[in-house]
Amino acid sequence: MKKQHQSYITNFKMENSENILNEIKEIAPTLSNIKKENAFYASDQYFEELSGNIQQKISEKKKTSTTINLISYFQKPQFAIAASLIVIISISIFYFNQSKTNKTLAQSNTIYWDEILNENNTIVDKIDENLLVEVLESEIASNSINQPNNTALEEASEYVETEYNNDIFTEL
Amino acid sequence: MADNIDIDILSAFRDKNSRNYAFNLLVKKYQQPIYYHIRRIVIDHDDTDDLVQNTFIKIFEHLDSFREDAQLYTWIYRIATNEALAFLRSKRNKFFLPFIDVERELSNSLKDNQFFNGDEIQLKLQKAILTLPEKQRLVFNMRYYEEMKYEEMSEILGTSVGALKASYHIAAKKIEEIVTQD
Repeated sequence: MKKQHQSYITNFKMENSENILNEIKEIAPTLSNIKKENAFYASDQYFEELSGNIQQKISEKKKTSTTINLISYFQKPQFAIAASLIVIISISIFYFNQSKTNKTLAQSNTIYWDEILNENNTIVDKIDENLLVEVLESEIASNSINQPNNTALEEASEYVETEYNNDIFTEL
Repeated sequence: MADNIDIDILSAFRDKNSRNYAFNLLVKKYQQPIYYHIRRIVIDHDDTDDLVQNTFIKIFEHLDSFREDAQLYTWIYRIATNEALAFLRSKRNKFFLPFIDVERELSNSLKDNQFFNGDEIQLKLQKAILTLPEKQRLVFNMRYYEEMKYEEMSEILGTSVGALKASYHIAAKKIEEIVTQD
């Protein structure tokens, strides 16, 4: 069956060749006398290697196209939008967290100073004003007004300092 | 010209396990006719080599989508012809040369071409062919050297049989005129 098919093709080709030869004889008689030959040359080795070279190029192209596909995938507008959104969200989260930290720090500082002030008030509250006034008055009374007794002032200061040091700085 | 081998190649190519084998068969079957078809258009061996490889790569990439309403043979020739003509076009655009200069350049390269082994008469004939306009040159080579039927050429080039016959007739007359000079 295959042989029959091949002989049909050969006959068909020969028939076509004859037609072409007759045709050229009519149109260009001088040309038809020139021997028809293939003047272009390529070695047998070239054709032996050609198939392998093509297969190699195809596999190289496949590798390159995989990389290019990957790159072009990331260059798609949808991806670019998604990536931009991720960047914007990340930056926003970062700044939000940072401002939150600063706020907490500021708040903690405020609380810190509030505590100190409250404690100072407590310390001031703890000072017995009547006793202090009494001491000062008795000292003033026992000394002349023109010659103020530094001892009384020193004692008063010492009292305040003692109370203050004991209550504030030891706690801090 | 329905070809059983082409049908076998196509069905083997569609099976992933025998794809490479089928493609190898296809290349072995068509490499020589496609090489000489392109070579007659672009003349230079290295350019032909690149174009032949590109043609077969394109065939490999698109054979899956090949619809059998056309013959594989004419489909392959169409790809090869388009590749070769696009190459000449890009060459013309690259060097800003008018059509005739590229053909003249090809004609001048014939004599020194190590892959050209024709005698003086063959050289004269090839130079005469290179004086033809692109389409006439293509038609003349396909009919005279590749012995194609007008119907096959019509399918490959997308031109009517009548127009092809007229082109061939004019081309052969022009060549006859040149070869009969001196």
